[in-house]
Amino acid sequence: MSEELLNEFPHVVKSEDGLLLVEADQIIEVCTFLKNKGFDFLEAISGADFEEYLEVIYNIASYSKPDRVMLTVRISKDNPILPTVTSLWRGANWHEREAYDMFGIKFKGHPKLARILLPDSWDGYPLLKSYPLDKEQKVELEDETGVEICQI
Amino acid sequence: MSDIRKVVEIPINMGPAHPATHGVLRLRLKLEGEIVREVDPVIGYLHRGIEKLAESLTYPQFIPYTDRLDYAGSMLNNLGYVKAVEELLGIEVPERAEYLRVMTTELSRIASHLVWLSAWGLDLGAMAPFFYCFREREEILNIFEMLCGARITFSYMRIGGVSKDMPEGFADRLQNFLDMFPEKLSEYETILTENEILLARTVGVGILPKEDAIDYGVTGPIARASGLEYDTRKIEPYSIYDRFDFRIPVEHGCDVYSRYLIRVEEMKQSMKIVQQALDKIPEGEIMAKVPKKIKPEPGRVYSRVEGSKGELGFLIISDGSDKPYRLRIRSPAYSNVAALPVMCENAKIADLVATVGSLDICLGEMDR
Repeated sequence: MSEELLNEFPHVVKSEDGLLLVEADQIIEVCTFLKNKGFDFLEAISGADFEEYLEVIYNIASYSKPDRVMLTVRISKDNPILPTVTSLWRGANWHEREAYDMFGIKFKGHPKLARILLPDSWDGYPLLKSYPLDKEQKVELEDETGVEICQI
Repeated sequence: MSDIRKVVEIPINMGPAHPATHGVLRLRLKLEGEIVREVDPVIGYLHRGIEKLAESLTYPQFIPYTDRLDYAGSMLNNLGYVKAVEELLGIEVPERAEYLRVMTTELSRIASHLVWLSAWGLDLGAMAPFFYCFREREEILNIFEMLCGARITFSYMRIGGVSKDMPEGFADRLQNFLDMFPEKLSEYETILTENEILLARTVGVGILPKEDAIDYGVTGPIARASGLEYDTRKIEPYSIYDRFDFRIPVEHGCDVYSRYLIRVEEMKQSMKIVQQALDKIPEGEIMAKVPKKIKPEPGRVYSRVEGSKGELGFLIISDGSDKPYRLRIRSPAYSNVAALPVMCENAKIADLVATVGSLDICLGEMDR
């Protein structure tokens, strides 16, 4: 599948260590292409923190065949924004919220980009390598107004 | 005076401490009388930061943490993790270890489904299945205790094999269980499958259409109850699953009752696999040659196994050191619960209890 993808999208490149690198603004296009090719199962969206950039990793498989694809999007640490894929898979909603919760990655167009595993009052993004492990947090119960939604 | 016919939406909390939410799941509900108009699952009450912890632990040190994900079927988590590390290292696991792995994980699947059946029965007001199921689960736990000394948190798998071989008398005890269990299973079926009250409470309740199951990435028994013939053991056979004769049950009811039927059938199929593995298990080593210090080459792997709740995936990024640079757990229950609002659209609040129960959630795995 990866060959087909590389032919179709000249901006999708294969890195030295075999990763399929996709540009942030092309992710919806690439995912739509894959979905039309039968890759209808979004397994997971995960974040990862590297020295120079943040990564968003998409694991896409199929409900009917054993083939699967792993896409990687590299985004800058200063402005970690990329488009949401919730329009393609509603299941992306919680995975993207988790990436926001843990890495501060923002998904443009997400219906409800709020923290999911950590309390709203949490300060910082704990899965970043720069997060101080001994940082104390004040945990508050949410009030009547409900969850805090990130505005981009 | 206010008009009593006026429809008022009442916001209400179910959980995080509620007997029918199986742990610390919280549902923010909007009710209109008895009808649920909106469900918003709130999770994270059991978040322990296991993914962050993994970054400061060596590869073997993380194995006990996987026990604490889905504690009803710990063997499956053990396997999911060690399989991912083995793929990263490129290690071949000895035959005998593979057979032991298949036997223990399938027994773990049965144990997990028994816990589900008992708790779900209790949700619906059936007390007897709880005692019956726990009686049989007890025997599975005894078998595990005989094998590895632990009953819940096994840490039985090792990177490259398993920690202990079958002790003396183990095969007989397992065979006794396999001989006894079908009868017990039909006992559950007698009290449940055609039970009028159960049918009234579950048929046509908590509908998850196939398209929505795909949309949400739902896997496991819930996906199979919605007509998706998807099981990692068949679609991408790992370990030695291609050597066994078993089938993947599929139902098209998409409702709570179908999920019950699927899980009962899965227990039978798992039993069949254990029997075949026990009959065919070869002699030999139980551990591959693994370096003392496990340091995979830089790279990444996404490895998946079929857990008792669905597809359990481990994404591991290695930077060449003895600790994972990043470890991500794709928890099946996480994706399954995300689809709960679809299942409970305009349902009665009592049906919500039956539906949440049918999901077989485990908060340890969802919240990580």
